[in-house]
Amino acid sequence: MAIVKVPQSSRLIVTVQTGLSATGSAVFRQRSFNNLKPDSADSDVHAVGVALGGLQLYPVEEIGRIDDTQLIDQ
Amino acid sequence: MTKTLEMVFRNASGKKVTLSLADPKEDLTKAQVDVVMQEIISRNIFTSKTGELTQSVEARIRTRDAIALV
Repeated sequence: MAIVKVPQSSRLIVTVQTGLSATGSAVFRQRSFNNLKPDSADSDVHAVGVALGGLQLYPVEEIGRIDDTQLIDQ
Repeated sequence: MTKTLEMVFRNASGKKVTLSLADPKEDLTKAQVDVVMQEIISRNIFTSKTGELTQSVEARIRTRDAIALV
């Protein structure tokens, strides 16, 4: 019995800092891009995240990806 | 007033696919956006229901105004 991880969907997330709150802490917003190929290389995803971030009004805080997977008992 | 950058691509089956980015820079040029769209195509990391993104079509800024009634 083996559990296999099967990719479902992935997203590219670019987090930007949109400003400061009334109490002075940083406010972040996430820019999410769906339909990321689950098998895409992290280096490619990062490069595109940086490129997209460069078009943003706000400074990029971080670039990440969310991989949704299913665990199937085979 | 909110601004959204819309990058329109064509996919492998000829359909248009739009990637949207909220709050683009104020003074974006077509050249700047074209570079990013080419990067997206060459890195080939996005797909769509009907195929991979294969070419860029256009880029546009959509502006939305909401005025509260008082």
